[in-house]
Amino acid sequence: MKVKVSLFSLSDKLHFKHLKRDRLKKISLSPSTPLKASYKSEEIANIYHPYKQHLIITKIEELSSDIKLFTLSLDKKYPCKDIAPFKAGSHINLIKEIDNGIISRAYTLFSSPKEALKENNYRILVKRKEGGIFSSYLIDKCQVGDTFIVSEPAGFLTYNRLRDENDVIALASSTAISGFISMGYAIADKIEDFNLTIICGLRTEKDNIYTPYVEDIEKRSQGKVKFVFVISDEKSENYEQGFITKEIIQKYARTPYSIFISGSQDFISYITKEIAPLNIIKKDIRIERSIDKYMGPDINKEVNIKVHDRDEIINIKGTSKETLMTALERNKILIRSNCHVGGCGCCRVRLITGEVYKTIFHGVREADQKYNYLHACAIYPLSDLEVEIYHY
Amino acid sequence: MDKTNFDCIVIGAGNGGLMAALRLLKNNKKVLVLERELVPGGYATSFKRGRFEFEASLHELCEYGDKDNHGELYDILEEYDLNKEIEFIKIPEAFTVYDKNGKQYSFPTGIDNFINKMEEYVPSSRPSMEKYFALAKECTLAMKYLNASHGKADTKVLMKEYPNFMNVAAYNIKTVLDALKMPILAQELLTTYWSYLGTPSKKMSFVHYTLMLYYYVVYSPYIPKLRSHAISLALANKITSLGGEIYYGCEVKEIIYHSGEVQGVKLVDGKAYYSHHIISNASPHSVFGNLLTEDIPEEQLKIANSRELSGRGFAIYLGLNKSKEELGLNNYSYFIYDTLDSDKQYEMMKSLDSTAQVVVCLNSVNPTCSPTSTTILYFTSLLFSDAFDKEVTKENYYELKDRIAKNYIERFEKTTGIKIQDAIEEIEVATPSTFYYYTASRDGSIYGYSTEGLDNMLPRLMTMYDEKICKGLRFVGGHSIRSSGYNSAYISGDIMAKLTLGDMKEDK
Repeated sequence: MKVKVSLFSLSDKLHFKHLKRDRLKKISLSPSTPLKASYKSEEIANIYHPYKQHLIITKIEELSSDIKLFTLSLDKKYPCKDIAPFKAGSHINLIKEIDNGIISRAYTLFSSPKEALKENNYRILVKRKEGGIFSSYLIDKCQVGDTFIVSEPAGFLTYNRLRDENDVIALASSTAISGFISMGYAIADKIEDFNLTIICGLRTEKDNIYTPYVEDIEKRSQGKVKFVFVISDEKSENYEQGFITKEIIQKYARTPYSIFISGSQDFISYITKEIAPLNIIKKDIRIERSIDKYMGPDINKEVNIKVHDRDEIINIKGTSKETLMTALERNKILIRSNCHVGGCGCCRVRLITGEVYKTIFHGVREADQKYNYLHACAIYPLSDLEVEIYHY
Repeated sequence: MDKTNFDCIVIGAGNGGLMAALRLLKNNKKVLVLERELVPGGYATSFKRGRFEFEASLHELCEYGDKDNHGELYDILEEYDLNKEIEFIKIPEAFTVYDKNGKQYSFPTGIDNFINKMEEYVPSSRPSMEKYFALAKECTLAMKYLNASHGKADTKVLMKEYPNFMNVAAYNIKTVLDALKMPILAQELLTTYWSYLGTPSKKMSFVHYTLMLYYYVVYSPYIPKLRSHAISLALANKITSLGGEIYYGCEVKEIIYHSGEVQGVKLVDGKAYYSHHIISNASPHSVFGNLLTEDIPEEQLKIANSRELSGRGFAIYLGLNKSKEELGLNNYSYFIYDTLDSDKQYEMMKSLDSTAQVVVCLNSVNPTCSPTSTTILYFTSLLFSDAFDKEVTKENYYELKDRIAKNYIERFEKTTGIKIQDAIEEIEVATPSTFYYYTASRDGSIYGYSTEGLDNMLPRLMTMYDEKICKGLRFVGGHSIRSSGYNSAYISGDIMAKLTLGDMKEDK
């Protein structure tokens, strides 16, 4: 089709020609004042997502022979003025250089999110784990004044009022109750608003070290937060007996409810079977596990790992019995990490050559699989490897 | 050359940076790309929550197409053998838009289909619509001529071959559509895509908008099957295979600049890399606000100060536990406006209370993007003011995110009658702070510089050989000469690399 658009005046074409002149003129008439170096939205992002937090232990409280409560505050040697805020249920990743390399572990925050910001510190509950290098270090060696590199808080076992039901049943074993105590505080402090019933499995009455926190939270939450402890190894009139069962859940639950689960791998396998008959839909069940079992392949093989870090090449030894992240950290090569389960993506690496074993929790984006991007915390070498890493 | 010296350093592995690096590598240059994130792509990425992998930003690729009918983006990807490498899906519709009363208008692709549909909705719109598409075609040809002429267009050729283009090129959409005597409703429906550029019809260049609409209608919109992350990884992989270096997790702190030209960059961790040529995916506002702050040539500040940041972004990503059929989600994209008058809508979107939105149901064209009986739905909106900065605090951030998300979701339900709240299995909310955090784009503005008035694509391209540059430093991305949009960022990345190759010749 032939089109003829005659417009407004004979000068239309001239207007077009003058676009260039007009733009250059506009530029020449603009001021040469300096540009803003920051915006509020950027400051918020920087507060919530610090690259690295440098923290120092300011208090250690012994709650039992193998559980301690640590308070981490800002290390004044560094310029940062505020700890990163967090949503109740989040964890932080602690990184420490010890004698034989670097170790890093995720610990769920025990703190009230509001108090934490006010007092500018995080609190974490640490229980000695058998064979656990980091927990033994924290329980046996760590002193007030020790310093750590700490990631920004993160995690997916947090409450969202658009996604979750108004009532939440939170199931935990032992110190995995931390994140739920934090949620209890958030409700008591009125920064979150939902009904939370925390059911926590313990072995003996003596393991209930939570009374002062429970009393404080229950008193201030006006009935919105309730704690139920279930004791397995002894009889007691003050507690529910045995293990957490679907009957106990039903006794305390008000339908509809969401279930949040946090604990060891054994606890999670047990509890997911236990709640199966309750027919709760997938979206209403959220799980956070700590990896406390060996997840690797059934072979034991020493391997050579050629590590590309920008323009440097570092050759290290690893074995098929440890994750790539452990091998790197043992050799004092620090990469980012966070969840230590396999899904958050912080410990992304590229496999150039070699074969690896991926745990069932290893999860990358679909396209990452095609180009061999992997998460170092959830892969074990099966052969000599050549990898590209991004140091932290 | 040692390990810290390069022919060119690219700051940022966004769409523009990646494409620029490829062009330089194709010309045997030694190239280093520095990216602060661990993934390439900038906005072109994806992220996982539970059993869902969300697309971070792409709605639909423009200027793509297929072997027989395609735009420039297809040609560029073909040059690097990437059309085979990346699996693309054609979107069989243009858009669906709702007016404030919830009346729905759905448009197909293909010029005739589009015109016929418009005639159904707006009787007697046909003559003006036919004129419009004929004019649109002339505009695309004229732009091709202009681009090929490298700033030395022959006015005589333009007058002879593209007279109508010459007539309309200086005007905004509204003025030209009025001149075509297009009925108001047809004008409003035709400009539905305005929020993809973030500039309403009285402020938006006719040619700029028309090119986008024309390419969508003629070549159809496309998406990559494995999210835009698949394009970014394919580009990054090509860079590596051509011998380029990409260092991830490397944030540039400073551009080293003295003796009137750039010398290299210094990273946050103290390490330095050297080159007399830098292609920056970081905008002039970021560079001259943070990375190069001493002895800035006055001209560069004037250029930056003559421009405005575009709209700030909001996005809500939902993983739903029901199939799109169960939910009744039949379309790919839903444009939900308070008014079809884009100029009025733009003013309303200066407030945080506005819930005007563009919603994409990924499963509509990509059924395997999430597990069986689930759906990925994501919402995008823009804020044309500093209202977010004024309202957000360290204490209210989570609450503000929830509030905004709730308003958008309820608005979607109210307008479409489709209930989604009970099906939310995963939710993530992105604010301007989130976009800044992941892309470092100034104030979380998602479209580079606003394309209002003299900063639309046409004058940007016309002055590209005349604006002074800070010697050795060129810009790519949404703030570059073709403005925002994936296609524009890829293509301008390519153009700016060619200009850098020219700069390198001048060195000798």
